[in-house]
Amino acid sequence: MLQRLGFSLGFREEINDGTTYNGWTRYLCVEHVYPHSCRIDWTGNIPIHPTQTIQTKESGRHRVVVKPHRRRRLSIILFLFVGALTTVLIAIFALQNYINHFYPPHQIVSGEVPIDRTIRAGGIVRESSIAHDSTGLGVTFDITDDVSATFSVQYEGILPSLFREGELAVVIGKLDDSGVFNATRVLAKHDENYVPPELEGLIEYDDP
Amino acid sequence: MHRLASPQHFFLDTKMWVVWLYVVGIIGLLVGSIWGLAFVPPERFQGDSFRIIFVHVPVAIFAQIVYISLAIAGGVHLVWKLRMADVYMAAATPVGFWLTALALGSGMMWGIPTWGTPWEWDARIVSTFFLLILFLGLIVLRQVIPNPARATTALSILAIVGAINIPIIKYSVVWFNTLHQPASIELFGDISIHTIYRIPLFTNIASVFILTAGIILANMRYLTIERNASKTWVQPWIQGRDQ
Repeated sequence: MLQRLGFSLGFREEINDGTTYNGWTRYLCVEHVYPHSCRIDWTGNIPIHPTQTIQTKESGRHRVVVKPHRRRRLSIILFLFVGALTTVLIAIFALQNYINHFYPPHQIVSGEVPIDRTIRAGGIVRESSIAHDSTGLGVTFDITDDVSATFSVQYEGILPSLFREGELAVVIGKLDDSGVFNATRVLAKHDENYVPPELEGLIEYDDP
Repeated sequence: MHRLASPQHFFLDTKMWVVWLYVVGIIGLLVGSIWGLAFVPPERFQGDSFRIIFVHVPVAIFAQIVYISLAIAGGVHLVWKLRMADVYMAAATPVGFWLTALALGSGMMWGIPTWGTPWEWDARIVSTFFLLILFLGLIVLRQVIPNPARATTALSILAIVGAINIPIIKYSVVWFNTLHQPASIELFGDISIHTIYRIPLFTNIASVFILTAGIILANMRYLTIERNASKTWVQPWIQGRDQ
């Protein structure tokens, strides 16, 4: 099958021309390394030059064979690329927990994250949960996944201008053992929808 | 097309191409950028800072496309040993490097007012940074290997293996939690950018494509002259420049 797809690394291609020889299926053999070394043996292999055009009875059309050294290089390159790609993708999915930029709320709530170590967490800022304290710099708010998990965040500092209720935010800081997240930095995440202000609310912005 | 595979015909045939690609690309870029900066309304949340999308998205797209083309040229070199494949790689690598640098730089400038940070160790940002390092590696590798034939083979292999990074950049925002937002433009899907922003954005994407092609072609013409400096057909051009 692989040989049919042109991925032959064995450097030999056998083409069934639909005829038989002493009861055995007969193949035309193209040897890609040593062009004239195909055996004529009990399988009825017949040597032909690899660059030669072969007429098969099946298709009735000419089949052009790519020059063997190029075909070999192409196969090796494709194999290397696909092999390396597979390896890297497997490695990446194995390391997924390390590549994710932040923990989602359900992992924070379920206690899957380390306590008192600097981590990143992210989610949606819960509607009407932002409360500023009397000094004006301290703020508390809840981060939720809008399904079940919600945790509260304490932060002292300046919030980014895109930080608002109902939008995505990433907080960097430590989770204490009572489940409150003490943030040292707050980042605002924005979505991929870009809409002019006067149209907001008038239309579905996914499909303007 | 076969005519263009010969250095001499390539040089003689492509002079006006460069002129036209430059003229159309620069005019398009001016129209798209002025339109995007001055004539479309600000975004509902991000205000004016979102206008950097008209630079960021085109350069980021073509940084990746130039890399894919380098990997293909590397494959063509390894399999068919076409001389022009090597010339293309030498010409396109610095262009890809600067496109990636612009994508990262404009992304950092966009990140400050919106995210509140220019840099985070997020999968999209890190994989794009790795693309910059790959382009740099391709430039450096050519300098450090003295034998040109061996250098090109090494470059081709690095370009092909490094192409693994491209699907990682593309799907990093889908596979992982990232600070970077998901794609707004899908080739066979929805575009979540409002219609009035699409015209300047697509004008700039097309213009960056045309201008990139023009710069790469101009580099290829220069390299063709440089590498064939001893040939007879080149002499009038060298002497013409000196006069």
